[in-house]
Amino acid sequence: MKPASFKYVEVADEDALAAALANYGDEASLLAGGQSLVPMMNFRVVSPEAIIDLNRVDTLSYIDCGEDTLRIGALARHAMLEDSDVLSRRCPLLSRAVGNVAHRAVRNRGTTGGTLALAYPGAEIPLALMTLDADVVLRSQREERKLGIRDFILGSLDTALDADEYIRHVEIKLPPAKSIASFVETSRRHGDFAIAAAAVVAARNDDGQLAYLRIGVSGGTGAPVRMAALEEIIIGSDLADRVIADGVHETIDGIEVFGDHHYPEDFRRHVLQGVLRRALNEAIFGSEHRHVQ
Amino acid sequence: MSSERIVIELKVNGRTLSEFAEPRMLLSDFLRHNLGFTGVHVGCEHGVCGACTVLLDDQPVRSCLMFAVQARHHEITTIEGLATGNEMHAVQDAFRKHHGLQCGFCTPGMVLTAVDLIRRMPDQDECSVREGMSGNLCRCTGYEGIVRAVLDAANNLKSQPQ
Repeated sequence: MKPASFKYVEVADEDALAAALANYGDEASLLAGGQSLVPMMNFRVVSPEAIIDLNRVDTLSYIDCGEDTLRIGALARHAMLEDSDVLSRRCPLLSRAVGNVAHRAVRNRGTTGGTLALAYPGAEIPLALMTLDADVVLRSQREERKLGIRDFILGSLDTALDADEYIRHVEIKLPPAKSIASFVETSRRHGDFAIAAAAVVAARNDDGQLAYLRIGVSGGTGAPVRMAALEEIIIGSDLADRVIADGVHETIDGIEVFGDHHYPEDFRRHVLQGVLRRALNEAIFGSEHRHVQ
Repeated sequence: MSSERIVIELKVNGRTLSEFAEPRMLLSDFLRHNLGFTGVHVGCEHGVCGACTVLLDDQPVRSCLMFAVQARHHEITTIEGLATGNEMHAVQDAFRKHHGLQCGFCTPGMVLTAVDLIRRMPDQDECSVREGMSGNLCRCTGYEGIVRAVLDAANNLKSQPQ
């Protein structure tokens, strides 16, 4: 189980990275953390002609938290997110999500840009970014462009990334300061990709009314799904259990869910409803306590 | 396709060593076969079992999910580099004392993972140990001895003057 031969190209800065991508295009794979690419190469599922290693491009490795906007560089490792105090204070959903990603040894290498570029349906960070409606900034020698994440992740393992482009960073409009985040997933073993996962961020206004709600689910859905219709149902309601349960049932029924030989479609929907109800409970009623304090 | 062999110079356990290899050479194979660090156990070769875990700048990584050429800019610690002379590391001692191993295949990865876990989070309980060690698979012990060993090592390291 060894990778096929490839040409190894190491780049030290973003200009060299863009130039290498322009040069090799389709024949090259970008190597960031390598936690999905290298196993695929070991199995020879993929055998790129060239590997462009961007691990030395330090300018892509940062977390920059401003007043309203959070920027995370494409090369920020999952462990950097996990250990970030500012992230746990200002964008707790990402902190919660990253704790569910594999194991520490994998999080020490895996990167924000890498998991986005792979767009694996059960991956946690793309779900958190979809829930927060992040923007993804892409760059090539031709141009720099910013895509909303819904226009970036097109489906399972499918993105809008062109062959000569790389992900530069993601931009997140920060949720309100008093918000509560929850991230609930079910997986076969601890650290595996999710069979189904739900992400919720909720905040109350000064009167204790639920004023901010972001909901997302993934697992069997192709791209992660932002549940905007459910947000509207819940925000305009009295938050009764029955209303939330019916809303969850109805909106999960309304999204596209794929079954496979491990997890048939109806099973996935059932698990999606379960994780979503738990996540909603935790965030909505957690935000009530947060307000009272 | 390029199968050109290049010189790969690595710093392992404080020593600088070099060998020829192709860029596709995995760090795990390079450490074990080219440099002779046979404590790097190569199990699943796709990042699931944790047996090949080494420390890269003191952080645990799967050495089967890196190319050797990528490790040039880092300092690597394998299980061979953990003891001080004839004195075992507290985690190694605890694994021996609590029967944290039978066949020993998973042990280097387990020990290095535990060293990092305790360093980052000195206060451990059974739950946090089980979570922290869950990326390393053992098919012999049923994990009981491993969990006891890591808990004991955490306590011993806390009471030691740093």
